[in-house]
Amino acid sequence: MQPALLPRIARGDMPAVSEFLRRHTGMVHGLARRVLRNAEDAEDAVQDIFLDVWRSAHRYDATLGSETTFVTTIARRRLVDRVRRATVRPAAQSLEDPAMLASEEDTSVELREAAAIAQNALDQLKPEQREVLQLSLGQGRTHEEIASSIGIPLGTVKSHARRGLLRLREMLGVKADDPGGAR
Amino acid sequence: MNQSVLSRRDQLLVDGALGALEGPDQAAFEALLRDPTAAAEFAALERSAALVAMAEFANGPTPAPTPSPLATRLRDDALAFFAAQTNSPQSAISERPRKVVQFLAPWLLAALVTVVLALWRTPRAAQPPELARAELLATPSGLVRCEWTPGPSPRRGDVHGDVVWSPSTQAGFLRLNGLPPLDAGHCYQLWIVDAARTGPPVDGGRLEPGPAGREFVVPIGAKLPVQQPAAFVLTIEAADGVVVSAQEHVVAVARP
Repeated sequence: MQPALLPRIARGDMPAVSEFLRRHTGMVHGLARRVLRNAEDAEDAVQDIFLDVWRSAHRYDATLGSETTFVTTIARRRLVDRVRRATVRPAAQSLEDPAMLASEEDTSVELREAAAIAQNALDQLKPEQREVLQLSLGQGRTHEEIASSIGIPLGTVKSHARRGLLRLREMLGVKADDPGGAR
Repeated sequence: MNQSVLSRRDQLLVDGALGALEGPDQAAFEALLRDPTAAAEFAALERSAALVAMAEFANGPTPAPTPSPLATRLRDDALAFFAAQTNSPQSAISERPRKVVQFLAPWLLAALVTVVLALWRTPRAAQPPELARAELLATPSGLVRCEWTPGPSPRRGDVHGDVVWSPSTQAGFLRLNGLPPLDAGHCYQLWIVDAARTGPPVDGGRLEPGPAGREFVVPIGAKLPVQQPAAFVLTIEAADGVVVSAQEHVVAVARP
């Protein structure tokens, strides 16, 4: 596991900030591009997300998850907020878009390991739950978009997503002993 | 939580973590989060959702590289953010009670140095800052000089100008134009990020926005010695200045 940076960042250690940005900017930017589907909005969101990370660094608790999970949790929250506030949202972008495919960025060992564990849990879900969660959490599709794209009722999408996430949490053993979380 | 029929409470928590709350559910969800147990469950669900997003990201197509201007903005934002966090002896002491003596000694020394510097600068304070700046610029070498770039705050206006700083005399000036006017309850405050200092940045003093549409020069009032200035940051703060900034309004950043 890579040495933790957030405790140093909470003390204003600028080299730790630079290293944190090097490790995580690629993923945060990639998530923002997928969810917001607009390069400019995505860049604005990435700036907001990292400011939130700096503000929240002192709350990081390594016993509750990795730094990658911490920054991803904050990123998702900010992206969800932006989607909710947006009056117009571009159509879902193909992941084959050239803008989404380019040179190697940092896919850290930590990210790959956490992703492998999560993928193993995803594989154990019912196929319909897995599909809905992948579209919702992986590609940033709304439940309405998912219902429309795979042709099932909205209520069914919601049900699959809810039960799928609850089951995942069980399988991943994610603890609930952090009343404040990364908020 | 995993019953055959999900309770309203559980639906709200899961929908919140999925980003799928709608209309009135949002208010009910926010009310629910006042319960620490519910908030903890929500945090765990959020982390579970983040793990799925991470898996999908890691298994998906290789992402586009981060645009270089974005990387620069992120670095500037970070500098500005940490610059705006002032050194707070009280909070530092409370975090490190066993280091009070070690902590106080450099502060006392710094305070003495600041007093000496202030006394040393006093005779020059009588001359207009524009002239004092020109004098400083005429000194042989070793000056730090950098241009202002816009900060992330929506209230940043259109700031132009530069910063000149002399590490040897610990004196410097801000040249500014385009600072938006402020109401009586606010002021601008300068912060100096010192790469040689492990703690938060140095308070560089408060300033008024200056005459509209005209350039003006303000002396820097660093409260502590600055060894390696890495950034000069202007924020909007409450009228009397702050000890701990909320970093809500960074209007300009100048990096050497």
